[in-house]
Amino acid sequence: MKTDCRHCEALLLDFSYDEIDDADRELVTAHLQDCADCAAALDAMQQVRQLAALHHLAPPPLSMDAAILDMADQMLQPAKDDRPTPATTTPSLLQKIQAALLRPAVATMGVAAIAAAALLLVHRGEMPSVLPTQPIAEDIDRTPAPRSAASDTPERAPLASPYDAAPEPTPADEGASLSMTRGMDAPHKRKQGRRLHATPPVDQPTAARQPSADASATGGAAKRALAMPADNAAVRSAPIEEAAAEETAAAPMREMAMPAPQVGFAAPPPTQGATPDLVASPKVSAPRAATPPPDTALASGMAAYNRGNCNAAIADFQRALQDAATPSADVPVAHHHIARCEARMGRCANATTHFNIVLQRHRHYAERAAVLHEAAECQRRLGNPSQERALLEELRTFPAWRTRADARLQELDAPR
Amino acid sequence: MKHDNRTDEELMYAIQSGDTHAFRLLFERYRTPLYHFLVRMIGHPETAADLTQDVFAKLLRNAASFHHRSRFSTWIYAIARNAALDAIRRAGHRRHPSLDQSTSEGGAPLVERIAASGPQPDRDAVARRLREALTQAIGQLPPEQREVFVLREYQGVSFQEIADVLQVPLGTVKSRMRYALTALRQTLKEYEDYARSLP
Repeated sequence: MKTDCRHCEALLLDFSYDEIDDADRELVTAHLQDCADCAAALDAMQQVRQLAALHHLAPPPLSMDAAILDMADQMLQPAKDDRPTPATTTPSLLQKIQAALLRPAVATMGVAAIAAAALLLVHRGEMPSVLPTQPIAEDIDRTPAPRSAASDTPERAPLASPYDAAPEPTPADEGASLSMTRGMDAPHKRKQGRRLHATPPVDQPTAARQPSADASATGGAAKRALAMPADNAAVRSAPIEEAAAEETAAAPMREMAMPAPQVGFAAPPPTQGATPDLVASPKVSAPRAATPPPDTALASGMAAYNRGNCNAAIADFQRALQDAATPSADVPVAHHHIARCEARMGRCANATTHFNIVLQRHRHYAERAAVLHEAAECQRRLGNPSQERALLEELRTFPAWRTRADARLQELDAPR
Repeated sequence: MKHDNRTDEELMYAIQSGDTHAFRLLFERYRTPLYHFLVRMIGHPETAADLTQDVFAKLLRNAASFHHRSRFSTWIYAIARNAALDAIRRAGHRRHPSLDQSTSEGGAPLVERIAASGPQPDRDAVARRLREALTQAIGQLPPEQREVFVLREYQGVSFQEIADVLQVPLGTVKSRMRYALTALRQTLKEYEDYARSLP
């Protein structure tokens, strides 16, 4: 039976995982009835598998899904631009103008007006009879890129008080916060961070989202013009500028319309009697956490937080922390917001506890810089310069916060 | 999301032509398996979420290079596995304290503490402790055994496909699996009775 045992042993793994053909299965089954050793070996294997089956994991955090789907929308964008726009899509300004120009009456009037103007100019010698062909790229180069809030983030000049508002994150920092990357190399995310922040929520129809995503990247009008077929050349230049102007004007409205509380990080409206200017401003980059389902404690807490109801928010965040179903990625978010609420209500000692939890247990939390900034401010209010200094020393390792941190460190070093 | 009967490979064709919807379908299919694979490989849910994002980014960036000669699952798990090994390498240390190693507080080695906290009448408590012990035990496996064990046991990837993912012979995969099962059995010895009592 020695040979049989060796052969059986070689097949036990396949037998256990049902990756065995019928002939071998019969052979093993027959052998196991006669061989206690092989039966025991299989039993041991099955026991480990039974125990391993009890190793359950929580589902992936919602924030991960949002970041990935946003990234996909951005990365697949060029291919989408080449496809015809669905009929249900809201027409862009350019399309509206094109459609208007194609209407017979308007077209007739337009052609007549253009002809009259051209005749006049030719007659006055101000226009050559043959129009030069302008490369479209040159048109775009001369077209000022629309500056939406998300598309341009210049270095902010130092403010009177270094702690009254958070600095705007650099693209690199935005990428870091978007990707939730903690020490992992993720250059692609850094490249895309800026665009992703301006992208509407993922559950919005893709076609409807396209304009804002374009605008936030490099100028939606310019991008669309590049994608225009050659026969649209007649309506290129002027509409490009108009569309750019419209998009610039529309940018704040788009941001207002975006229902993305983004798991917090928008500072709550000030509450009465609250300590002002402690919480980072809404411009602190939000992590790409998806809006949690409205029935979760975290979502409820965020809603209360955004209403400025800090007591209710704290209660909800505490509930979220006690809920085993809360994804681990949301735990630091809850602690951070409890800390913000406590700080807002002037309870810096309580806030410090939660800031410390985030800083010590969630070292890779995407909003670490904001936590450091806010925690340092709390330590300042509590009169702990050494701890404030320690926090600022780490804060200055974040490029977007260095100036601010250094300014405060200089204040600390200044002779009194 | 609407049910779609297209295979993974067909969805990849669609993604190659810029179909966002196809990506969403593929993402739905693989988000949890990949995330769980990475959590079990590296032990940190947050880092696993980052790495999952990296994996999908690589999928998008390299979609054109998927030539449909191999199965999509093989391709994507190979990307995920490389991402996990890179992360483990970067971390540069073992994920969990060694079972034989004494604690920094001078307490008993972890293996003794696990044993000491053996099965109790309260099944829920035992199950909780067992989960922790499993996490520790899986984390203690060498990466080359861990990846084989996790892919086969939790992801349901066949031994042959694992061999394709890792680009090693089938015999090597099975050998690593046997070592992994033996090591886990040793580590989880205290729970044998509990395992027997399971339905």
